[in-house]
Amino acid sequence: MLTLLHADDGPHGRMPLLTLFPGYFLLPLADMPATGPATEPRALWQRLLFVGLCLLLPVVWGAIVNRMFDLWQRRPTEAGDDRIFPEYQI
Amino acid sequence: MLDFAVTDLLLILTVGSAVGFISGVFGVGGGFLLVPVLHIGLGLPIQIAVGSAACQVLGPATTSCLARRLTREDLRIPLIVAGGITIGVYAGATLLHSLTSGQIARSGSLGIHTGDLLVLSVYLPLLLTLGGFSLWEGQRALIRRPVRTGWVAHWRIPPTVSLSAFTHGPISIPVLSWFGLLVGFLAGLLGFSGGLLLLPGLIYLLGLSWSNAVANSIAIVWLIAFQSTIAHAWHGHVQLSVVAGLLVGGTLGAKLGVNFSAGVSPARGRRSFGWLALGTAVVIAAKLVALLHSAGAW
Repeated sequence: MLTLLHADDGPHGRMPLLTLFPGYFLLPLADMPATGPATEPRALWQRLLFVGLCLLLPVVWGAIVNRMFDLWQRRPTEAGDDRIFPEYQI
Repeated sequence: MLDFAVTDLLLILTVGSAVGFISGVFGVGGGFLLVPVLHIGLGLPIQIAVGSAACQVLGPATTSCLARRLTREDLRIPLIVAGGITIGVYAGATLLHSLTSGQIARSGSLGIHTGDLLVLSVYLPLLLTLGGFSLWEGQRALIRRPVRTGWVAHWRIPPTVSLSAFTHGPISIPVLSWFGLLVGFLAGLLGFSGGLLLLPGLIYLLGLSWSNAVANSIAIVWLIAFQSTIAHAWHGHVQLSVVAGLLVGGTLGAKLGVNFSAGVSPARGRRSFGWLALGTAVVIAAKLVALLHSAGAW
């Protein structure tokens, strides 16, 4: 079993989430709002920034992977090249 | 402060690689495997497993969109179903959140996590149906008696639209939207990419050709992943350390899986996927039985 989370914890009871991320100190955020609804401005901004980070991380990773495969396959990136990329996940 | 050891990261990387490898071999998204593995295998709470799996889907979905270089026409159907997807994803993620927090997190006298119970109970018939369908469809393809397509394409509830991608004539916009609503709801609730349902749905229910279904599903999966990530992250159900491990491991595993599967015929691949889905369903059924048994339900 993993030690980082426990099944009996509530969804907001074990923050800060980002401190679990290796290299979290590189991130502009420290943590998620610990409790309660996102009604306070600070909690709301923290939540919005966390959502933004969750969107950014996989999108950036996906773009980097695509670029790496472009370079790996020595594929030109100019428009008009329509060779099929292996769709490993859909 | 919670303890996050290097061994945990290695475990996540290994899981990501294994699921990525299987995804690469079978050419499907690994979301339907990730949630059971993260929850049953590694003991993550169901809402974290669902949220993190939904978030990591955005990575490979982005790669697919960039690599495929979708045209404007490829975005037409995804944008038509986007309304249904948005509502569905929001409803699914909100339902999961309400079941895993507050006073209804445990079901009455049994003391079972209602979120666990609901997610696993929905996964079980879904995987049984898809696994059974894949075996049947793969078998029909092997004996050269392909399954008829466009089962609901003749439901022409107005307004309809004529698109060249649909081989059965005009398609109903409400039917497309309800399809998006259903897929979005299940993706929001279960944390998978939706591709598992999209490809058979677009081909066999709506009558899209295979190549059009693939192009459209790539864009729809990205939309679903984007909206699921927002919904689950808003509720605090995304664990970025898990997402990072799954992204790295999944990419490496998927690349190996694609190389490994080269030369396998699509029909045989779909049959193998059917067995994989049924095997996953058996594991989920065992977990459900254990849950109910430990709670003294019988």
